[in-house]
Amino acid sequence: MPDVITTDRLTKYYGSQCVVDSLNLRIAQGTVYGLLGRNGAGKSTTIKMLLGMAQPSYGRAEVLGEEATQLRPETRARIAYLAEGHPLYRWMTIRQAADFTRPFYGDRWNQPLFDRILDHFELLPSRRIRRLSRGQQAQVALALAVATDPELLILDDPTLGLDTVVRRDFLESLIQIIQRRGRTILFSSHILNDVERVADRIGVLVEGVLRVDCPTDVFRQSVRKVHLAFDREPPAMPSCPGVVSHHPNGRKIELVVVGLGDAHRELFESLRPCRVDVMEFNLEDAFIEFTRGRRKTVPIFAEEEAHA
Amino acid sequence: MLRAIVIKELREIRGIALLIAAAYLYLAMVSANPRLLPFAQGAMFTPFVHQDFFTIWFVWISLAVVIALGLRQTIGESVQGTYPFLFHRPSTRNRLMAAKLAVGSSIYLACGALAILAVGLWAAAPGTYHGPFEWSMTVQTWILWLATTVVYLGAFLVGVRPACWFGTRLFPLLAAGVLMFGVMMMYYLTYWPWLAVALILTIDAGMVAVIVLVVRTRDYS
Repeated sequence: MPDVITTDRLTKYYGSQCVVDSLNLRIAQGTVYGLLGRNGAGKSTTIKMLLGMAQPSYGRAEVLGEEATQLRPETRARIAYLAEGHPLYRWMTIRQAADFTRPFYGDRWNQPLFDRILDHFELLPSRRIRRLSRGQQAQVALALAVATDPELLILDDPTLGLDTVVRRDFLESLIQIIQRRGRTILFSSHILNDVERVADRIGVLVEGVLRVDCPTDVFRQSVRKVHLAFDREPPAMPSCPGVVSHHPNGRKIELVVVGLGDAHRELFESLRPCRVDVMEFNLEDAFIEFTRGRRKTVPIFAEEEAHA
Repeated sequence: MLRAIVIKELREIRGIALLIAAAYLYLAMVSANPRLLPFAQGAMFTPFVHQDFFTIWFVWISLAVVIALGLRQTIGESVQGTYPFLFHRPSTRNRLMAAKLAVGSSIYLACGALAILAVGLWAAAPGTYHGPFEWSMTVQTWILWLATTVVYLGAFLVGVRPACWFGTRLFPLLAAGVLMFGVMMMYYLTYWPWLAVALILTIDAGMVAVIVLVVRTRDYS
């Protein structure tokens, strides 16, 4: 399958702050790619650079074979984009929003599909967008995006601000849309369950750096939590590739390790712990541990644990 | 496609457009009949004579409406967060912004032109004007009418250019005001209308070029 999105050392600075750092990303045609990261990790900025809404400081991005900063209107017509918060003209009715959007897409616009999606969401075309709930606005935005029959669908945190039930409905609809062959979807989220349900490949951005880019199952299986218990004050933890984070907690050291192997086990033994516990994560825990970074222990609890 | 943008713009600025039309209409009526003005009973206005009531108020009204219009057309998109939605439509940003500029400037230029023509026609009618009237007397007002385009573009640039409000954000508007003042001073010193027109159009072209550059290179976050 050809790559629909490729980036080469894509970097973005806002002032002196690096928001996206040397991002190398390849997304093949037909992939449903979940871009994960905490708030401020650089997900939205990455998506904006892919669509030419933000200029990269360094590096480049190609979307559907074209430089992202210079997408031609014909290429843009093949890409549907749901921006964060589903911005639409709030004074418009749903019908007016469709009337505004349709002329830009010519033959690509699928009116029967648009009507069917509205019907599915039980939305009347005469309703004014500002009178809709956030969930309904998201549904209208999705209907407008899908009716253009896009080859590439880019969704920036599409379930942000939606309650659990609406989010579930929205994702169910998304899954149905995905089932069209050959369609590539890139969506960002900070909600792991959303990604787990939809994506077949994930990327995890941590402070602008793409720390993970692999199939969803591989990520889940490769992240482990390790507890090293000591009968004395824990020694200093030397740095080691694959050890994402470590922090002392009383007479224990808690580590998060990616791709746990013999090198890690040897390192643990060299510290002479009295017990080593290796635990599996579900995807949500793996993501949290992977992206949390340095964790602070509340001093009073650490003291209590040490005395226990 | 162009029709869709024009309709959208017209719907968005229809409130301001009505206000513009009403303000110019009232100004034209008051200039012809001062009794409509509550505080100027018995006054007689002579439109198009240097710094007369009509021209002074025409300038103030024009400045107010072009600033309101330019800001509404640009900051309205920012406040709604719709720039990404708009600029992801399969068209060029230049075309989308050109449509915005064309709609906005057409509205107030048309309303302003109608006001000048209405007062001019009234003045040209026998028995209405306190003195001889020549259409050439309206040149100053027409130049002012055209010069407000500089301020409109300045206001537009304030809206599209990302900067701090308590910083350089209003700089384009300030610069536009200074440029407009400079052009009018040049006109009052020389009375060369075509030079003033050429200068205004040159400044307009420069400001449109800056708008195009900003729209093309700024980040939409």
